[in-house]
Amino acid sequence: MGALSGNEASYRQFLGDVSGYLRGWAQASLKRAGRSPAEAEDIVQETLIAIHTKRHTWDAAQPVGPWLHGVARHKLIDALRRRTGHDHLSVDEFAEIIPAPQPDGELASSDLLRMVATLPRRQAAIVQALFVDGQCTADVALALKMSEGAVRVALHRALKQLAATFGKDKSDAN
Amino acid sequence: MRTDDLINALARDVVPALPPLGRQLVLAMAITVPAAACLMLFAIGMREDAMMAIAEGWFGIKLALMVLVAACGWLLLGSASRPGRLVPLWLLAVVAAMFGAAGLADVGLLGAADWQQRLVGDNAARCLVTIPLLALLPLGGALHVLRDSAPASPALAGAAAGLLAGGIGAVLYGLHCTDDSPLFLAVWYVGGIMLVVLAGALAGRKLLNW
Repeated sequence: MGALSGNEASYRQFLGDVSGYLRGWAQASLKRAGRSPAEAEDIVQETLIAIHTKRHTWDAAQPVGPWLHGVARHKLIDALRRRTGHDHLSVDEFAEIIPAPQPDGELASSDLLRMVATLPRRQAAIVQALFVDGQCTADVALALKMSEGAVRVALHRALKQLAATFGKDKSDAN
Repeated sequence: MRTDDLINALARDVVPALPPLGRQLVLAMAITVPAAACLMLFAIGMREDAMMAIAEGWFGIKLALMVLVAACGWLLLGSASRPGRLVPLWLLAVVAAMFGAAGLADVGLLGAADWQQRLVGDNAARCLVTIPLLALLPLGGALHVLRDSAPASPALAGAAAGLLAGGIGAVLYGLHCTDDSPLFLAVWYVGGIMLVVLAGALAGRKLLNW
């Protein structure tokens, strides 16, 4: 499994393959739990961030499959709890009245966007520009008058912060 | 938020992965265990009859049992802190069986006559305080490393860290304490270790979410 520690191209390929698999798995799991499969992209993205920030917890002597599945299951359970825990009103009850939003490419992610809003202003702006508006790092650097390296470092901090925010959310809920 | 853009950003993330979790845990123990050992040596002190006691046998068995507890904690921690692993909780049964066997040997060899005296010993209350005290540094070190880990159950990972740290604290305290009877260990040492396990579980639940 060189991709987890290896070069950029094979790591990107790996994450892309994993995200495709995760999407199908998350949609099926949500459906089984009686939830809208539209939430799947949230789970996919949170799992990808966790795979990235927790990749040192994968033991190279072990197969990667169970590890990936463990991360994904953790994020799925989070997502299921989050909704049933906080919302008294289940959107699913209205599923037949409100037309389900068409899965728009791979968008969505209300939870992630809510967490992005808690980032420091500059980090939030970078995440917004990269992930929501789909700009490339060079454009973002130009727009924010930063070096490209500085944008990447800020992005790294933002990703770490996002990963930590998931955990903090749960501690507060306990 | 687009998943493809997220993947691109993750793939280009500049900062390399943290060192493997196992190596970080070993490092944390390599720092905190000697520190706790110094605390024991200089603030609490070895028992004076250590050399003689080791020849009698029970002292050595006590230390071996406590090393076993720490080893069990270490193995549980390795799987509890990583996603997608089965946590081998049956190891706890093995440790309990070893305690049981040692207790039976104690009663069998020394007779049941004064078992109450051996059970209460000389240092009962100190055990419950000193073992957690000596476990504090290793527990802190383990929890610090675990904050970046990915436990399926944060409370269980914290409890495993507590078992490891409690076992280490018990080995160190065992070098000072002159009560070696397995009956005494099963109550007071295990009690001290359990306090550390409880503290670890509570701290884990609070600190190790991800």
